[in-house]
Amino acid sequence: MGKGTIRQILLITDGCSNQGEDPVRVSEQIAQQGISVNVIGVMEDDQTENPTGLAEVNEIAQAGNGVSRIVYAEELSETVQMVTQKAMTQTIQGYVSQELKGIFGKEMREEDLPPDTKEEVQEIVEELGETVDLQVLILIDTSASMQDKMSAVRESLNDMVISLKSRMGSYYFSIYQFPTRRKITKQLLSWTNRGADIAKVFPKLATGGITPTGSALKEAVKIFDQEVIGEEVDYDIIDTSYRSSS
Amino acid sequence: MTSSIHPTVRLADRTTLVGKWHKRRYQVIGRIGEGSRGSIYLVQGSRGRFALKISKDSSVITREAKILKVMRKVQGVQLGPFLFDVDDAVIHQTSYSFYVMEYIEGIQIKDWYQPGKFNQLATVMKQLLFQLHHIHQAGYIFGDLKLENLLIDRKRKRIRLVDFGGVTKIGRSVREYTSQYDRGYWQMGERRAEPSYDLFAVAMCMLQLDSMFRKNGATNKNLMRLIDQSQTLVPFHSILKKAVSGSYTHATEMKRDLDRLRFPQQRKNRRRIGAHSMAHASHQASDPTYKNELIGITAVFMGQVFLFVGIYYWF
Repeated sequence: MGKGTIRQILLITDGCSNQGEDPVRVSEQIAQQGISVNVIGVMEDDQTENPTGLAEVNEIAQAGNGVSRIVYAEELSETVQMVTQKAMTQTIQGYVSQELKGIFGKEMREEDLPPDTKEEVQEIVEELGETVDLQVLILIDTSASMQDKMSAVRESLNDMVISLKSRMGSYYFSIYQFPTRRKITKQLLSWTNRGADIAKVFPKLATGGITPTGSALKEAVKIFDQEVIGEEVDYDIIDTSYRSSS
Repeated sequence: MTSSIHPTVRLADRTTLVGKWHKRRYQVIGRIGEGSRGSIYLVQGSRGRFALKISKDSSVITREAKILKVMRKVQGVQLGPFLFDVDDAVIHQTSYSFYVMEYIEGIQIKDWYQPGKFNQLATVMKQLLFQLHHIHQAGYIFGDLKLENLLIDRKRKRIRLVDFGGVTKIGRSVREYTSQYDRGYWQMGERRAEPSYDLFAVAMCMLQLDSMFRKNGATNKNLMRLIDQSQTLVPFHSILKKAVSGSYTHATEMKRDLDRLRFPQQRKNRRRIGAHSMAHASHQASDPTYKNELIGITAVFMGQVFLFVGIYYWF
């Protein structure tokens, strides 16, 4: 967890990755670097619970030690906040179990503790969750089918920043889209903590056909190697030219 | 560590849960509700009926049970449902955490409230503010305050808060909220736990009872105008505006303003009640039992007169 920073990826997609690397395998590799992969699957309004195209949403998150939820577009705001929070708690719990293992000398899951001890562990986890530093890489699926969900995505990201701001620990987020015309993925926003920057990324909604989820994940995760430079921000708008190719 | 796909644990009716630590037994009677964090069942325990909350995410159970315990310690005021038991149970080879609490038989505010009954609404809101005040005094805010989390308790005849999953220590970030009741969503303030966050939500609860607000609130974000348009809440407009703009820093301030309210409707009601009871009296004149009563009263009165006259002549 180097210097008390929690690093996570938040993938917002409507599923159906159809090109490039296997997203589940990539997710597993990313998790090994101590970065959790969390996925929110967005359903069409006429879809009922757990459609088949979104099955991979849960698989990617499971492989990535992360949290997943499948929701309708209008529930996105609350879900983004919940998933970020839950993923963070889960990561901290992972470290706490490691510590417990050190103390008890054997694998000790939180579930194995009596209620009172669980409560004490919980208190520590919650305290850490409030104060630890957080880095979130947001990866947005902008394939054709996501087109009408973009305003909900934007709203939910604005909302996420409101929540992050209220925490005691510091936070940085960056935004990537995939796919784009020439590249698999494209950085729209480098590490920043300014909510106002989100608006600049979303002036127009753009979308293309294919969904190379796995490759995009692999590409985007490299940003965690970059130093976080607080003030210097460069942003790029979502590529509108791509629409024609679908 | 499991990645939480969905926290729901389905329990068939008549399933029996046996606690791993405390060995108490509970039999499922039926499902009460299901949320994003777990499910609540009505169960039969050895000492009566309870509500049992179970989740695949054990941290949810631990956290909520702890909060209910803290709320129990607040002296003299009952804030949350009474907590009876916290335990784990194995169902189909998997261990789940659960807690058992008092089963509150109540009606949803939405089903109870009739537009225009200002007095009733004010009374209930004052009860709510009183409870919130004590939660704030204990160093917490309720957090996820919404109409669905408010019940009118039939037995105790007062408003009850249910679902303490959103309770947050003052000063921390609010962890659970519902957009329509969240001041961050309305761009009226931060999502940080302070008493005014709850008071904003109290105002939103009241506004959600207005049909105009429900209709326009989904698209329009200009709260002040939306308040002005809420026709069924006119006497509360100034209080609502103060609450949403963060003017109240303590629940008691908002309660005091509610105490000071006098409703024009109230007088009209009383007059109507007066007329009603008079009509009732004239009905009674033709009633035989009323005649008997009249005879009885007259007899007693005459008796007293005779007695008085008798005593007078005695001397």
